[in-house]
Amino acid sequence: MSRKRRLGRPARSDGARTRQKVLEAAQRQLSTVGYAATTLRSIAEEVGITSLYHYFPSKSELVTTLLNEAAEYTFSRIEHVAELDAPIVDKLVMLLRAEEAIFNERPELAAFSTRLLGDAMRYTELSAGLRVTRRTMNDFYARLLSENGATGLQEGVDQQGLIELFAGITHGMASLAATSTVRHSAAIDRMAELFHDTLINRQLRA
Amino acid sequence: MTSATRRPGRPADGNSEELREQILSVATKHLSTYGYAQATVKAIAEEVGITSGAVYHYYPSKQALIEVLSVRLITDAVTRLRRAAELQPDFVGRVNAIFDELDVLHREQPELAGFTLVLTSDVARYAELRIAYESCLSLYVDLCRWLIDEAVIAGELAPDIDRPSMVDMLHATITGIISTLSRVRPEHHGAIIDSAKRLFAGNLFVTP
Repeated sequence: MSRKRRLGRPARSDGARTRQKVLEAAQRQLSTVGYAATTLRSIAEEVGITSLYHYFPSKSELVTTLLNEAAEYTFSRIEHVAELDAPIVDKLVMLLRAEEAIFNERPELAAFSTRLLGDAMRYTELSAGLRVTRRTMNDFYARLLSENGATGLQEGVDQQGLIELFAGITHGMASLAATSTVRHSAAIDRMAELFHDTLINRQLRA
Repeated sequence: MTSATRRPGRPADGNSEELREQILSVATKHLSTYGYAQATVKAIAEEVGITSGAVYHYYPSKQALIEVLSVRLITDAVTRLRRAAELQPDFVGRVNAIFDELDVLHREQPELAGFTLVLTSDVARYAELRIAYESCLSLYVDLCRWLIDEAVIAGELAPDIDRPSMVDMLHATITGIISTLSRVRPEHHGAIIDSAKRLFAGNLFVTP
């Protein structure tokens, strides 16, 4: 039974582990040195293998895999919010809290998403990948609002405008999370108060 | 001299101020479009129509050039935001005036958003951007602090409010709006600003 290990492609479990290492190294490099300076070679070097070709034939395939993985993970944590029977304001605050949980669990995602957005302005192949994520996110928000959303909004609110504003706020918050997840959590407390209209004392105003 | 092509190099003294401005404006464009690494002094000089040496005559290094232009760009922007806010009597009015002014600023200087994004994403990679980044950040933070101080004095925010998290929240909202304006088509900007104003004025959601 003690078969000698054949040379060549690693056994399946090894392969999966190496693939995971490749993804982690790639994510780290993309978040720190950026898209241009991250190469298949620099990743292979960090992981300690000669070539990435067996795992990812191209950089764009590797980046797409990372973007999809990050999007899937994020969606798995927020999907249920769209189905809830709750006022829209509660659902949005739940999304902020879910984001907080995501960054606490995987802090590297904050830097990854913030920095890639800066790079997407320069590298078209990257912005194509992000566009898909953004579209999926837009669909998600549309569903969030369609369930019973409009009932929780005041008259005259433009739903698309609200979605874009919220997307912007989450981006601003993600970039804070890339600096400090503790400060991110505290800022979300203030944001939640603002959303629930308990932050600003309106008694003073005529 | 008339038939000779214009030699690149240091210009005559008369238009040096003008040239300095031109270098800054081309550098802003390059930095916000290509990022820090690809915004080279050589490429900037080429577009202005001078030699790299002439650029170095005005700015001793790329780092110095970027520091001057980022501090000036953000100082101008934040000064305008503050002026707009100062005309308003209360916290909500001031914040809303800032949102309106962000929209105007973005229309007049679309490169400002790209610049802000590049600065925040490149600072992690290039240590020499740190000073420019910190200076710009402190301008925004000062604006947020002023808004919060005034609101606490007026009783619009609780006296024991946690100020650091309040500053972070306002700052994240402002930078978030800047990034949104840069990626969404201009015809939607009005609706985005309207939602932001409603959020602070308390007439976005139906609350019990």
